Amino acid sequence: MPHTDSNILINVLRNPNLMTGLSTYEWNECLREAKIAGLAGRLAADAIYLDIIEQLPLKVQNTFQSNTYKSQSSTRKIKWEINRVRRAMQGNDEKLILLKGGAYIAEELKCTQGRVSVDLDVLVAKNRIDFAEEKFLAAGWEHQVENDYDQKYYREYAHELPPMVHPERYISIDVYYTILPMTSRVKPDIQKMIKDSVISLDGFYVFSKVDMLLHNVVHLFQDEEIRSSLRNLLEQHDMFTEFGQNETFWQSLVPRAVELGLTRSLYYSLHFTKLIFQTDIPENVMTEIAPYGPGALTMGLMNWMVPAVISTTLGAGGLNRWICQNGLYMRSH
Amino acid sequence: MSDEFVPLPAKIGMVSLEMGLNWHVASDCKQYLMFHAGVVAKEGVGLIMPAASGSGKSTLAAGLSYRGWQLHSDEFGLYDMNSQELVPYPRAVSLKNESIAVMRDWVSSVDDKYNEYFTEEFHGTPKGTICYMRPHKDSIDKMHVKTRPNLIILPIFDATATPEIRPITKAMAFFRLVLSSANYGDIGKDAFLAISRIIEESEVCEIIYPNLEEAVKLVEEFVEKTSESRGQL
Amino acid sequence: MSDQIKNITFNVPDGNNFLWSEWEDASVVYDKRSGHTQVLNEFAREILALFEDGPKKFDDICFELEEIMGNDLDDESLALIFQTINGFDSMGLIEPV
Repeated sequence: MPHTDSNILINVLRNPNLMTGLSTYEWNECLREAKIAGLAGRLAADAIYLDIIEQLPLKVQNTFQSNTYKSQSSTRKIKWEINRVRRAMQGNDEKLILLKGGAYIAEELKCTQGRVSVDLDVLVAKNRIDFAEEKFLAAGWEHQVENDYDQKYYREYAHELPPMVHPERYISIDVYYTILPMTSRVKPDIQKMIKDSVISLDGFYVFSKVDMLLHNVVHLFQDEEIRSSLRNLLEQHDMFTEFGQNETFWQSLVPRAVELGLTRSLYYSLHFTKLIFQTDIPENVMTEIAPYGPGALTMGLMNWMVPAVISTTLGAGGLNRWICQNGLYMRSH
Repeated sequence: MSDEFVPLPAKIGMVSLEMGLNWHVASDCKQYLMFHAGVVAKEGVGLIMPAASGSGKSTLAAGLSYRGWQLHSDEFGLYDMNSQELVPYPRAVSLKNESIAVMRDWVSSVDDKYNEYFTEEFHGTPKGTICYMRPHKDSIDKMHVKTRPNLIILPIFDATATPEIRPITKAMAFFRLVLSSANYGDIGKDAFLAISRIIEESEVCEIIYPNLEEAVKLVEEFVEKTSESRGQL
Repeated sequence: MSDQIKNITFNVPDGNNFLWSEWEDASVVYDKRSGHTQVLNEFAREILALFEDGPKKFDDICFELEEIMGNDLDDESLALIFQTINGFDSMGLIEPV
């Protein structure tokens, strides 16, 4: 894929040591793209991890310091919100499952390095959702949407309570009872995922490693924010790399995707992380997932569109990009 | 990414430029502890004047800069937590409404060519009438010269007031700095340590003043009064 | 939050999360976990110090303060202690054990 090989941000993400040799021109490109993709904090974290910060230009060091504060502050706020939710639920043995960013932070996953999370997502059993809402409101959280129409929309058509926020902390909390909207094509059996969740930080639960990965994968190319796809894929690359240390992860991955009906999403994830980040995925897993891929025509289109979308900056624009963005966008509905 | 921006008519495009600059500094320069404050420096005195809009801090900082002080900023105090110094950011001063005439008058009394320092007036902006003033040449020449902060003055403008320097406690000054900081909460521990150190090393007071001339006198008076104790640090 | 606060044993979790700046008339505390900064007067500072020494309920705090001051607490003081503990709880400076 020539698209991605020529992209400086992707090259640097693959091999962060490249940062020590970038020209000013390349830094401008790289930082601009990183900022658009929400990955500037990630580059900063990589540079800190490799201990190469002091070899970088001073302006880059400043930018990285700024982004490091941003991500540290976001992590601290999310952790504290988790703590406050636990306080609000004190005395009840409600099973609360942290989703996405909150779960990654609770589990201190590699993908949280330099990441910025702006809200906290929590899952509760459907028949306990009113009780949870009552507890949140009693502890000072407030609904962010006040009008009846929006409230009704959330309660009847979305898969969550109307978002709530505590007026002193400004982190939005989304309480879900399932992981995809009621209107979604794919309907993974949430009960199975809840049953297999494991205990984590502060008495909260998180999905098992395989389910955590699959939950991330479900949103790939589904959300309207196609631009965040690179960040999504990088998270998946990190999870494959981190969870993949354990052989049982690879053994249960595809069977679980079959069980939950998420094979197509997993196929794309494995295919594109390998293509873009050269993720180390066992050959037998690629063979196992192969039958669940799309037809040759769709795959051809995807191979053309995905790298173009995620490796083209906002500024570069052009018809080609428009087609890619909008093509993918329509497909994702 | 830029949802916050309200489109403005082309003839007040300068105001958009200023808002854009402010937005970028605020969101992308988090390596600095940022105070919503006027900041000036002179001969080893680093003065922070934290205040809300309307307190006259912008006019005061700009006014001081045409009376021998180095202008760091009329509203963005930047503090480098590594070197423990204030970082100058002498971009054009944004004057609003009544303060435009005040500054023209103020600058004209020391410089015949004052007209060259002011842009045209932009009417009907979200903040009323705005005019930009070039900082004093000396402030621009010294834009890379940093200063350690050692004086905190909370300015209060009251047209009917008798000019006065009032003592405040250090705990109060501490909290006013925290409240004036746009990114204290994001930086966290390092910001707390920085403000603790600044307050530790600073003399603090509040001034209440009816006009710019009196304000500058009060500032000079407080600088003079504290010169000995600052010398000991 | 009502009187049930009085029956909860609170402590300062994990230890070592507070940074202090002490001034003549007040103490400023930064909590590394929440990232929040609070100003405490001498009275509140004393109560937080008691929690820092170990887990306590409302009654334990009152008892210790009576010991320190050498006399019984009046109703106003009791109300103030209650308010302070309530405030510490909502700030997250203390948590139920």
